[in-house]
Amino acid sequence: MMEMENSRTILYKNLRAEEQRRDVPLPYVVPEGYFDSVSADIINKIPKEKVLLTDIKIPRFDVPEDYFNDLSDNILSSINKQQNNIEEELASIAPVFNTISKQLLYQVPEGYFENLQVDNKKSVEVAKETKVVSITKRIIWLRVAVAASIIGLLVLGASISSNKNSENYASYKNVDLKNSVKKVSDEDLEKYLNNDYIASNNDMIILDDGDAPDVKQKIQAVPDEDLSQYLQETRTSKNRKKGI
Amino acid sequence: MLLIFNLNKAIKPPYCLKVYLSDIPKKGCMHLEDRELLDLFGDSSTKELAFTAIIKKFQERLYWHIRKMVISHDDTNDMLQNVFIKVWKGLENFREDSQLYTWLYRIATNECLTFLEQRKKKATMSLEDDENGLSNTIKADKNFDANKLEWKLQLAIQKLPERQRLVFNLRYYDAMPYEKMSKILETSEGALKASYHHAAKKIEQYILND
Repeated sequence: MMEMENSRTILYKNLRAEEQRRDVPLPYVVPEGYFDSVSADIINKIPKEKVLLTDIKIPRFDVPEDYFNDLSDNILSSINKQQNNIEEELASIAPVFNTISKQLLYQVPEGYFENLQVDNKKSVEVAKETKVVSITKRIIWLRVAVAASIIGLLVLGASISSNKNSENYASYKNVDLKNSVKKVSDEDLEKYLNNDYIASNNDMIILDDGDAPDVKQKIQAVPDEDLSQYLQETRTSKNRKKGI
Repeated sequence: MLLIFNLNKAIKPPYCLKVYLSDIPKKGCMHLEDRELLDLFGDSSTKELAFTAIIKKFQERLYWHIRKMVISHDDTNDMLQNVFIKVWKGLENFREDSQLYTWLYRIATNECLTFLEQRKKKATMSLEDDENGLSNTIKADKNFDANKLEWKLQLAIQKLPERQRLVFNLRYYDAMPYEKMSKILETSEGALKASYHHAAKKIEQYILND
């Protein structure tokens, strides 16, 4: 202890001597005897602080066992929760889906997505906004009635023409409209309605006034608006098929 | 050529998006956020490139969304083209309060419903059953196998009404949350849940009994 005190005194004297050698002395003033007592002051304070620290109760934060081991699994589980919900929901409604793969079996032509190009200069007609028009029952029935009357006339006309020599018109009453209509293709119907019908492979023959005198009258009875709407629809669907 | 787009002028701390225009056709911009793509679309010098990027980003999702409804690839292709043409025309006026993805799905969905409606009208005129038309398209697939459950499932789905079919496809195949579906189909979540429930039940009955 005495040796340390001596060393400190020597160091202090050296520092003072060094300070005095400087051309410009430091402007700060150290209280007299400060360096003699500072080390002792510090040492005296240490035990007191130790006591103070031990007096403070630091709360202990516990981590559940294996928390960090399970963390990644738990996060992944949360991510998959939504998907699982969907599967659980379906399993509760219709368990048969558990036996079916979700794989879609439809094929896409090779390179389709790589080569897909959209012609943004395509005609305005195709691009224009298509509206979902709600169709009332009345309009549906009107259309069905129009279509049925036209088809009926066609079939009747065809029958009249093919049997005009027999003059047995009573048999026309027994025509099976449904089956006969099925034989008429959309194309033939459309051609007929466009007034440029040419007999095709179907059993239909060109109608003229002599064969069925009341045909014109019956067609005239159909409102122009309904006919033009029907023609417009068939033409649009035809054009779409052709890619126009 | 290097262009630097200042995307968020004065609103947020400005940051720059560097786009090598020559790289877009090769790499695409699928990595770009919708906001960035819309900004590129708004610039006349990059409009077409941004549009190409939008097509590349969404084409497969929209294709399958449509294909599951109309079955035929050719019809799907026609409709996909129409959808993107409408996107081209409407994108400038796109309201950014909805997601681009939601908006595109909505256009594609409307296109599907319009197409199916027209198909149905045509079938009515020819006294045919449109439902059978779609089933026949499935059966005409070169890989069709009547004994496979997956094909049976497709046939069963076609028996559903259009909107129920849409709901089922979005939930079952795309795992779409009801909340998002509600925005696309503009229907309440409760109604969608009920619709999905009925659809799944009907399909199960078809598969078990047919």
